[in-house]
Amino acid sequence: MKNFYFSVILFILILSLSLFSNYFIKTNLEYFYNVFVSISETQDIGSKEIYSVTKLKENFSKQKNMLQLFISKEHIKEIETDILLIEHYLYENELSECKQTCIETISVINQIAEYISSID
Amino acid sequence: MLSIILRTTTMFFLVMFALRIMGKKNLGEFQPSDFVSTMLISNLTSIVIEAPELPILYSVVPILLIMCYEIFTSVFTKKNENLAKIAYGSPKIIIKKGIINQQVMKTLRFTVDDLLTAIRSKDIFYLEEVNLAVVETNGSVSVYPDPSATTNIDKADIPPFSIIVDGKTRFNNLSYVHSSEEKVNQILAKENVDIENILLMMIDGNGKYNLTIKEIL
Repeated sequence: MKNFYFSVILFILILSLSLFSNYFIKTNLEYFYNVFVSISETQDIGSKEIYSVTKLKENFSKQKNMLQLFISKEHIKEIETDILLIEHYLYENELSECKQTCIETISVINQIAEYISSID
Repeated sequence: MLSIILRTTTMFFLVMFALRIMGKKNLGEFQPSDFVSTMLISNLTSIVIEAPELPILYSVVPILLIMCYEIFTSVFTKKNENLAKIAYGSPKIIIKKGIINQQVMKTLRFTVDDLLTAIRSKDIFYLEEVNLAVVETNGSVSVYPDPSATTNIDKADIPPFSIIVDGKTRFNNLSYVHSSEEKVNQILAKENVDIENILLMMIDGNGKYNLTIKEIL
């Protein structure tokens, strides 16, 4: 019976962890998604865009370790590289390349979102 | 490389822990839920060892979850007999007083050879010697021999061999029991039965035979 109570606690713990992780990933992905969409739709590169990408880079590096627990390293690396590329293109004022990279990153984010939400 | 070592070590101790919590029965006698959980755990373990790019939680969480389900199943089936019947099934009598229950054989998809092998593994060669043979929920066959039959049967030096199984002849076994096709045909004529209608025919070294006719199910 001791094992039974232990597994009940463990089960509840796993459920709570999965709910938390789902919420955590979704919130982060939504934030990344919004930033990339706003950049991909912009007509001009301004300080606002540069600031939002710098902020995103900071946030991403803070959350990276936590995200790695739930998302594959390949996807993390892909997003990380794309953020650096977007930042570089923004500083170099290369809007079309910047938009292209944003779209690629959005597709990666969509892929991750599909993995974590779909059960089919 | 270090990551693989750490992952393998983690998974090894995690599986050890899971099996320990689930109970020792998982290592020997497999009930359906034991089998499923052990099989799934072994597959899940290999996923993160083989794919270092995946988070280790992809294996750890499912293993712990399966461990919980296994314990839930065993606790709930212990408390509720109907649930136990659904999860594990119930033992089935397949031979009673030397007579094969063909309905049970069909339900369990047991072949005559499966049955004979199970009986022989209990050192019983004559069907008449079996008082009760039960197919347990884990698939093993328990045999309770008939004490009176053991002494009453006139056993030959050469045990009975199957000559006709499920309507098909095994005449190559005749040489072991010093018999011939002619003798078999004589028996069949005497019993007025066709080969196709025979489930099992066994003959021992003394020429004593046991005939089980196929039932129409």
